[in-house]
Amino acid sequence: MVGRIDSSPQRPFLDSWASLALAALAPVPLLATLLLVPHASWRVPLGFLVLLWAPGHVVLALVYPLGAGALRPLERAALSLVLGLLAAPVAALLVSAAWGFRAEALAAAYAAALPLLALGAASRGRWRAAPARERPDPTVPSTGVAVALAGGALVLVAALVAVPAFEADAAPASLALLGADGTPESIPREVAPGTPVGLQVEVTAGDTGFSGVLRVHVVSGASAEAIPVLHRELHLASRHRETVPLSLPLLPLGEHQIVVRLDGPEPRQVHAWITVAEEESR
Amino acid sequence: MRPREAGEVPEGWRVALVATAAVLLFVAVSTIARWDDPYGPNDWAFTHTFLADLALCTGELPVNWGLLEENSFAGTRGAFAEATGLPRMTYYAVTVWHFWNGLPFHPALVAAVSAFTGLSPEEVVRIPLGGILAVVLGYATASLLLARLQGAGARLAVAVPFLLAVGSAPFALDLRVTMPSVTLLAVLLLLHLMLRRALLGDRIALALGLAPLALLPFWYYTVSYFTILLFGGFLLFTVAARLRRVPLPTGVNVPVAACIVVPVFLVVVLAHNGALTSHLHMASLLAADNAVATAEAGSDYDSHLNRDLWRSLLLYAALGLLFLPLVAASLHVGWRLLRGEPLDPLGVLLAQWSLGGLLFSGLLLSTVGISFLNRTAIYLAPLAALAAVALAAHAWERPAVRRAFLAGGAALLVIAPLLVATAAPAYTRGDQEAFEWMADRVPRNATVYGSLEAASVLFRVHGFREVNAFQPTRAVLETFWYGENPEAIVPFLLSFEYVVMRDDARHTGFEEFGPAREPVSEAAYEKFSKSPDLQRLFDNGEVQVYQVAVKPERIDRGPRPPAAP
Repeated sequence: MVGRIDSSPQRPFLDSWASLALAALAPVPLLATLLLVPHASWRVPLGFLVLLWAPGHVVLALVYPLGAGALRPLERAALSLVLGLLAAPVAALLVSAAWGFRAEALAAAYAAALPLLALGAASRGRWRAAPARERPDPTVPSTGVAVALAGGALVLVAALVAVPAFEADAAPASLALLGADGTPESIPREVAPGTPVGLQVEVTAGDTGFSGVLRVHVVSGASAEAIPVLHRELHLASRHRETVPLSLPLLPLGEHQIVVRLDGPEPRQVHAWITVAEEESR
Repeated sequence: MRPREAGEVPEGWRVALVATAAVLLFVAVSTIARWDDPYGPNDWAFTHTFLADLALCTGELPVNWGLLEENSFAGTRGAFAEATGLPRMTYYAVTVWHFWNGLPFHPALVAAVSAFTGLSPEEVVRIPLGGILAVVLGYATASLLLARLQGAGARLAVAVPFLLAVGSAPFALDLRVTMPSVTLLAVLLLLHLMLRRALLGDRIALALGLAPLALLPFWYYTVSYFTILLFGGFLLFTVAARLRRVPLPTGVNVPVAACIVVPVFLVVVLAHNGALTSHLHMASLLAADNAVATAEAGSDYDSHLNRDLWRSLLLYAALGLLFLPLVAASLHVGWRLLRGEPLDPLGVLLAQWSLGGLLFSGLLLSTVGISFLNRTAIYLAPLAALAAVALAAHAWERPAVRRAFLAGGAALLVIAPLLVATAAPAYTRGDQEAFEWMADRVPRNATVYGSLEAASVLFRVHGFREVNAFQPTRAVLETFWYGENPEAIVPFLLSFEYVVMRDDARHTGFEEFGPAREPVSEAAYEKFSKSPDLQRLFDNGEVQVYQVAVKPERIDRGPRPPAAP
């Protein structure tokens, strides 16, 4: 290695020694940030830079030496990002297995490895840049086209972002059936004859309030007869919740369905099955 | 920098401007109306998000190291389950799906990004990282491909990142999910480096492109299988060329040794880590008569993107527009090969990749009934965009080509965002209210069943750690979902304490075993409310929550489905 760093303005940044130095040393400020100001806002871009771009750039500089004109800037940037991303989980698993998974340990590993790799890349690079091509890259759009494309894309982006991320639908009214203590777990499934059964019905109005009738029936399996238990008109303001305690009449032997209906513009229904059985048959 | 004309900003700035705009457009399209939606793009990834969270909290990335010694997910999961604190290996973490314990790279990536940036794992998986890089890499590949041309045709390279951003709804939907998108980058890297080898005679390129493929078996299985079949396509094409005695252009053909070694390596690793065994088992469960993917059950994007006539028309029109040049170019190369005529490098590359994609489609369709829409149309979309732009660039001087290209591009610009925006399940206030009610009233350790989109939110947002899934069998779809007999669902209810049903299941469909399914009938939906084995505890018109109350004497009715471990 002879010579000095070429600071020729002819060399694109991503093909320059400055970019290699940046990639090699980027983990250091990240490590400092993690140790000193972990909640700093710059951690987001710095973290992405270190994890995605820096390792890929250094590795790519090993394979395609800087200054040789082997890769154009866009290609070098794209391949660096992809290689950095592919390397990230491998590095994370190795560090986790060796020292445990901690951000500082991972950053320290990058801070140790990248300068070493960069030294290897520097030994392969050319200190003087290859001469710049005489003619411009034919695939690069003119300024006018680039601005028009970007402008059009940004207009479309703005239109897409304006689509509401959370559909502005109204909260519906809801009906719930719970046990006497307000939990689903306490709804009895089988009870002995003569056991009083208590339940709770919970009605929550939607955004537009609720007006309607709450009806409760007990439908017995054998006769399929619906015995009314409750009939109450409800008028609830928007988002208002009303809890209605239910004391069922003593149920005869057999299977019974407790049917709770909310009749109104938004009908709802919940139900529970309760069996009344002798002790020995349960 | 290179010399520039007066009034022109430097090339680097122009490239950066275009790339940034394309990336922003991709992000906007792929996350349209879903950025803050709990039914986000990461419903598949929530167990990996949990692992990344765990790594950040405990200082250790849970990895099932036992898989290095024993070819069995079931046999090795004990210690791993203990390390995660989820002894039931919740939800999709069953041995059949094994997303949970056999793919350490994805949770490691999420944890690493989270550790460096300070973003939460949940935020990280919502960034369409792989898609963003695919757009940038696609631009670089197009630029490499068209650099030999001069004039306006060469500048058409800028169209590729925009085509990738808005050209394909399946591509945008898949690449917003981290696990498939970041692994697809390994394949797109191979494509780029193969082009370097073919066009520039770069002798390092192929080796650099092959190396990352070794990571795939521990990252995402579907892309692994795609890669295996891709190299099968390369081999088949090379053999065909030799049989027809057509010399392949220098640098284009992948050496036969690589065509054999890469797939063999991937198959051996997948067999060793148990994935192949597990997938064969799954295929045997599904392959009775391709039941899980039959048309009436809905398959892959049939109900996701394709559930209405207008969707179908738009979807196939968009795919036709994007893929027509690739298909035409590949058929042209095939025709020349049959006639023993010389082939050009780009044509060979397009035909090789198309053949690989065709083989992959055939495998998926024959084993699990997944059509080209679900995978091949996604994985080959960048190649299709490159082919379209390359063909147009070569004939750009012709006004008809220019008009057709611009009209096609404008059509895609409208179709893809429309399909993406209306594809995913919508998270309504009704869903939110219902899940919040569950969080308030149902014990967090209760065993809950719901379709994937509902279960994912219950796990990620509301902390229900025991949302479990059925093993993928015909009976789950035919009896539990599409059946109308409440008696027949008894065996399915035994594994759960609560069942959550979304009204969307009878309107727009539901997600089960991954792909979105076609809606169930009214009668099928009503069987849950008619079942004497279910207490209907909550109803808000959009979501119903049931408590399972199967009586012991009813347990033996009907065949019991394979239990999720």
